[in-house]
Amino acid sequence: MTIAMQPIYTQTASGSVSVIYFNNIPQTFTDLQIVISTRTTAAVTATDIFSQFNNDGGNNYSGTRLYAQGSAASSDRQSTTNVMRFGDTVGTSATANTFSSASITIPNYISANFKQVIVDAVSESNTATGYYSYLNAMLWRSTAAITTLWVGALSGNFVAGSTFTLYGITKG
Amino acid sequence: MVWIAGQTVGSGGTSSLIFDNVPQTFAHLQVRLSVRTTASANSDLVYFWNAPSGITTAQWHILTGDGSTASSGNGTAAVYAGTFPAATSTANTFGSTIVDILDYSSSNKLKTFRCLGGFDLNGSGVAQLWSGLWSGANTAISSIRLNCGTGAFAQYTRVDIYGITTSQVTGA
Repeated sequence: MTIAMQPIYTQTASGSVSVIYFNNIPQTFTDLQIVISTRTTAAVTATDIFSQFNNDGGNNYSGTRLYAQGSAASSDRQSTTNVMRFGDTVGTSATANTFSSASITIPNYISANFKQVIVDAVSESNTATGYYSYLNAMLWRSTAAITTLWVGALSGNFVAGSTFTLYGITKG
Repeated sequence: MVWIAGQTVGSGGTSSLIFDNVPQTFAHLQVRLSVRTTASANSDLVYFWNAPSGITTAQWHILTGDGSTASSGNGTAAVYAGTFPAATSTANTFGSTIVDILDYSSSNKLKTFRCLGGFDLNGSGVAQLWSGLWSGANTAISSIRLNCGTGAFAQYTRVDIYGITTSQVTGA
């Protein structure tokens, strides 16, 4: 039996943590998937989650989003940015003990072509309008294989109990 | 990702799909649905019913597109797995949805359900991202029960539950 989705590494915040790093990512899989359950110390309902690959701080990221917040569904785009937007995470203004849920898939992360990234993410709160839903398609304009990545929040730190697991997807 | 259990609906259909005694040994749960219902309509809702106990204390939101318009919505008292083809839909069509429940056994987190799915009927259809918050309690999820909004699950409907680990597993 081939295990198609293998956990590479899991990190659980044991205290207030600003950034989560994954270094030395194995180059032996076909795709990567990051599954995160997060809440931050920011005094907001939700705040953005960002990432960089290989610590690339250049303006090499872009993305297109379909998202909903409140009663409206919208779509927007960011181009030529220095971070990749993974969605968002709830803050302290959201219902206590709620954590955002997101899946980030990076196909062909070792290819010599640019990297396309897809995200589905939700941030629930026990209110009619205090939520966010995202479907993101994003691009990292680099031909380098992804060997490291970090995940951070725009505001606040990740609270204890936030979990981050990096999976490798194999083709068998 | 380890298969836990699955059910295929036989002739005559069934009103509920029940998975009790969900093991508490994984990090996350994933429910994969291929569903058609017997409702006398073009689509029918499927929701998580009476498991976890008290899941009617809930909030839900949806981001959806129907081929021409993107919209969002919300409600309370249920957590939905999506909408699926029903009796008047194109024959032999089944909707697909993947539901992720992160940290389902946590006693510190309210449980957020993230549901990505949809169906196409060659002229109509929907693409949807649902989120649901079971706001009633922090208790672990030990049962998954699914019901249709108005109809029953049609023959050949299939639902499987997988456990997702965050530690290395060995295939044999």
